[in-house]
Amino acid sequence: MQVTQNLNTLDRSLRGIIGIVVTAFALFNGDYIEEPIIEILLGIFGLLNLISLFSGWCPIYHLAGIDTRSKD
Amino acid sequence: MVQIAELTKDRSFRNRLILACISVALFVSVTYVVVSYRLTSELGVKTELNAMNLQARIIHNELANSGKSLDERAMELARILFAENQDLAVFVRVTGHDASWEYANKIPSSSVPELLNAISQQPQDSQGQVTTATGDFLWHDYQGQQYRVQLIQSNTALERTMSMVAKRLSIVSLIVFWIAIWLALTLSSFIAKRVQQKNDALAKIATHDTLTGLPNRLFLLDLLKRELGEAADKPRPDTARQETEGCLFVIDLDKFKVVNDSFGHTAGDTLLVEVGRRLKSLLADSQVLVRMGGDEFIVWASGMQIDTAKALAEKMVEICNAPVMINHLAVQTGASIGIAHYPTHAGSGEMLIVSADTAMYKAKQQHSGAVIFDEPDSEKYKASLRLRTELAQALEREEFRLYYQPKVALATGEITGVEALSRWHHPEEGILPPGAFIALIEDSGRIQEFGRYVIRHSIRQLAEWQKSGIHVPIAINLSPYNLLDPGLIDFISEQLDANGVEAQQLEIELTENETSQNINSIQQRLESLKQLGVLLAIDDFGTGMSSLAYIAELDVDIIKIDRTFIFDMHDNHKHQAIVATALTLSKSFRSKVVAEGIENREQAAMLVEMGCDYGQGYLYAKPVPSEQMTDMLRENPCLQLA
Repeated sequence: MQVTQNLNTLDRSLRGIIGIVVTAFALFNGDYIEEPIIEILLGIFGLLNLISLFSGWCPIYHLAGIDTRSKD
Repeated sequence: MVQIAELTKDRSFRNRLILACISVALFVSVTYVVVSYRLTSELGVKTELNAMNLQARIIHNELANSGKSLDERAMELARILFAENQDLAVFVRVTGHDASWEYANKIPSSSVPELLNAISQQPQDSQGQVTTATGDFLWHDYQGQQYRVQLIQSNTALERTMSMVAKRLSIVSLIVFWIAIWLALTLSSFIAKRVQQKNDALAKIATHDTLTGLPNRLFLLDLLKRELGEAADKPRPDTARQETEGCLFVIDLDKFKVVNDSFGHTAGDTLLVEVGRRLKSLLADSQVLVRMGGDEFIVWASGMQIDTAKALAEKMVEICNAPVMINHLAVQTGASIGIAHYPTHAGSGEMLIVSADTAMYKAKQQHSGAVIFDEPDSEKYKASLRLRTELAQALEREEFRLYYQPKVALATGEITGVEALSRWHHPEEGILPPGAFIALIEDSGRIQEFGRYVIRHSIRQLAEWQKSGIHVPIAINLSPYNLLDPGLIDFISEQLDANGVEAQQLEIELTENETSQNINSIQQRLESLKQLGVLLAIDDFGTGMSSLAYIAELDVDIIKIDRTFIFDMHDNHKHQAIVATALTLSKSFRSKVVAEGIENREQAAMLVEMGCDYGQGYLYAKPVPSEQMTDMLRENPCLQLA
């Protein structure tokens, strides 16, 4: 799978914020969630968003053939 | 054409697919949350009620087996059982035979009677849930051997469930929802992509020619509709109309058929591909080359003006004239090009093609390469198109009238017969001569109907004249198509009988060239006509593809010498010789001779001298309406003497 950037700035920064917030919540929520499975899922969700933030590339967009970057 | 647009641009399909996936995800998430919530809360309530049952039994047994006073022991028990959870609203009532005890914690005293009342309506020794204005409560009513224990406490299961839902279920459903969106996007794009690929392929097949790879007729019509459609459909101000313009070229290869026939279809295909390639090389990207089928190509150049178009067309002719190598032979295929300009020459795409086509045919006839469409051609075409649609109505309304031109004995000027000529009394166009509509009638397949119309009216006229004592035969012109009408002979004989007219009063004039071409198929009919007693005449003798053998075989009663030999016979000796030959021939065939188109006395005198007995022409009379003819026949049977 060729990694070419397919996110525009807005998309990328939104994902960045979601990624940071969700990952932080998964790691530092204390006893709030009380369920390791949910914490792991949230962690993955956050991590994927963080990957999008750093690479500017979304695997789902890639599969779906969506590109928010090149058009504008 | 609409289908192509649908095939190529179906964006809504994908959106609908995404929407459907998200809706399903949302539905699943909501159902999941609701069911989980209900399950958890029900479990909570059940556990709580079980606990209350145990508590009630413990209280009862402890009180029954204790030596202490009821109040004292009960207070101790209450402390043990309820001290842990001070926030819980609890009400306990123990009723014995001689004493009773009550304990209340955090429960509004006002709601206690209401709760007790609700419980007392239920059977003893049961448990349940009751909702009052102050909240949701669980109760247990235990009837022991000594005491009745009633326990009421607020239902905290709901609250605990809520907090659990908020924490876990909502986060889980959020993640589920998020995954569903992933799935929706991926799935929909996969499906949409596949469908789009198939659609593109279909659209390509539908709109492109397989041999040359060029767009086809369908593509062109679609394109023109898109580019000109709006302009053509809606009347717009002239300024707006000016915005769209363009030239359409119809290119037809002159020698394609020859190549196909002599070298085979493969060679023909090679030629088409090569010509297509060459034409394409001449065009800019914005200009579209289309193969219409056969050896016809069309170029649509949007925004092009006529002057530029002419230059481009000449280049195209030149490039088509350059030899193509087929089977090691240099083959030269010329091209004829017709050019039409939008909006000058036509108002719609289809009319534009028709116009360019008309111009192309003209170019082909004149061997002149490229021809620009001429406005009068279009007017003529439009008029004939309208007339064609009006034919049926015209026949029904009897708009066709018969005019009569007398045939006279040249020596005496006496009218010996009349020729019926049809005129269309068109409500808008006025009186139209046969030249304007006979071809249309033949094309529209109404010629037999029209023939019968003329026969019926002529015989009716003969009957009318007979009543007024006029006995002059009428000659009508019939084409071979009329004679192919299987019921014609019966029709004529019926009409003659019905009107009491002698068959000899009717003459049928046949045009020579048509007659000779179709002689085999119509000979039978002609013989039947002769047997009926109807007279036969050869019209326009000397023109067309004459075959004297046929004329000999036909055994006609009258020969009409064509006007082309008459009008200049005084100084054209060759024509004079032909007239003389016709006269000699007619003597041998024992048929009468009528000279057509006599315009002056000189011609008439010359014809008399040569031995011609009858004539017709403007010298005597023009074709006139039936009333006028009747008057003429009644009053003055002798016309201009020679």
